[in-house]
Amino acid sequence: MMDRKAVLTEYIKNEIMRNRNAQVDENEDLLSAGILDSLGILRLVAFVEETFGIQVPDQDVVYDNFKSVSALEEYLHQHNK
Amino acid sequence: MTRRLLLLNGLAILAVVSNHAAHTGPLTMFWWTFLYSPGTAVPNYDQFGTITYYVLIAIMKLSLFAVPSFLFVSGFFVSIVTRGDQSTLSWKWVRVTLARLLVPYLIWSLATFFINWLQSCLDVCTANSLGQYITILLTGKAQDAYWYVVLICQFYLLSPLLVALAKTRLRLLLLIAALAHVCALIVVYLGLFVDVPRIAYVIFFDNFFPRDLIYFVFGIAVGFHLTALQQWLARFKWFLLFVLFISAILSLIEAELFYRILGGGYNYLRHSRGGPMTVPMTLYIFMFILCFLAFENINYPFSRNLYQLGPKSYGIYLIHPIVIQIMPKIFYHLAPWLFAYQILYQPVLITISLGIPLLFMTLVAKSRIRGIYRYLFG
Repeated sequence: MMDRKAVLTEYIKNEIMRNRNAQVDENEDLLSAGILDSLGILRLVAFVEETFGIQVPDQDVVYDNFKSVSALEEYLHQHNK
Repeated sequence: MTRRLLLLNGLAILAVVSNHAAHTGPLTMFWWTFLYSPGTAVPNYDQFGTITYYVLIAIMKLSLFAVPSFLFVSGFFVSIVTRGDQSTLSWKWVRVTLARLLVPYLIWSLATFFINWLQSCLDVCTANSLGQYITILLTGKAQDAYWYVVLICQFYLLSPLLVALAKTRLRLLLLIAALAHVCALIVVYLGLFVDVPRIAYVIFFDNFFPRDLIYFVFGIAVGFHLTALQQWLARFKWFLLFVLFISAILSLIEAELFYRILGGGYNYLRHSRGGPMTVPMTLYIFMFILCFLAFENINYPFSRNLYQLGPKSYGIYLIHPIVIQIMPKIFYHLAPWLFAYQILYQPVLITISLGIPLLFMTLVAKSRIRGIYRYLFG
């Protein structure tokens, strides 16, 4: 099973931040740190759906689920139960 | 539906570029006629009222859903950040969001200052004073299109207050935003027939937030009540589509009526005939957004490309006015015959105005300086 946190972190660094040398802590608040903006969060939703083969319902696109890599991983974990 | 907002952003940026390209049309048709029709005295209005002319007017009008769509998506994003347990927006979030918008804005505004200075040096090098440059930066006037940046910054500054109101008194907030919009409409309609006090224009225009508050608040409201709205949209989507077509047609007819009754020059054409602030135009913009949400299973032509444009919309927005500023002048000297064929000139200008920013963004993303990508393009 792929390491979802690593996949998410790599995507955020390479595609959202456009800086593969950036440091992203898994608990870092992606929104407050300015890493995710309006389009960034939409791209992340699309990436999660395509990469992990799930449908993210609109009501699940909330701060609590997307605030950090850990939170998103936890959401995916719950989703797959 | 959430991810489809990327598609809406892609459509909107294509509309922005098309709108600005279309606005170069009258210049090439009326003032640069001598380039492709030797011996013609200019301005020459022979092409006024032709099919080409009306197609340009239609593009100018029907593309005006773009900025309201950007505001709607931004409002929706604010609702995402504050849905769930996160009840309010932090000022840190506002500060970081503003910085992400303002740094690229500053860079491309400075680039515009430099290009304008270089252009002036073809004759005698001239520059503004420092105070003038600062004023231009603060008012978003380095390029005509940059007014949007000043506007969206105001909304993000207001967003903690707007979110708090939206959570407790949404109807009141929508009512206030709607009233502000109606006041702006009244100012426009009155301004067609009588002199309106300057203060009214300052409040409802000049890049100040009241006029467009409704679109940002609408995005927040939709974000908070998406499920209920989707049920409503499913019931009324065909009616909304009907109203969309009717409002689009009315927008064009109204613009032509105003023009024929009141007359006016190019500025009049631009601000009234091509402007967003009329009743049918407001209806059209709302119907466009609602229909986009309602018909969520429809595949648009080139939707894959539009999805790719969506995330790059801010970078394109900042760079394309510079391309549109320069390209007609290059065509003027190298391919003036192109202006005789708007059906060819417009697609070429739109393609280049999208292509150069995209090429630049791709080059930076793939180069060693990709770390500064966000500072350049947001």
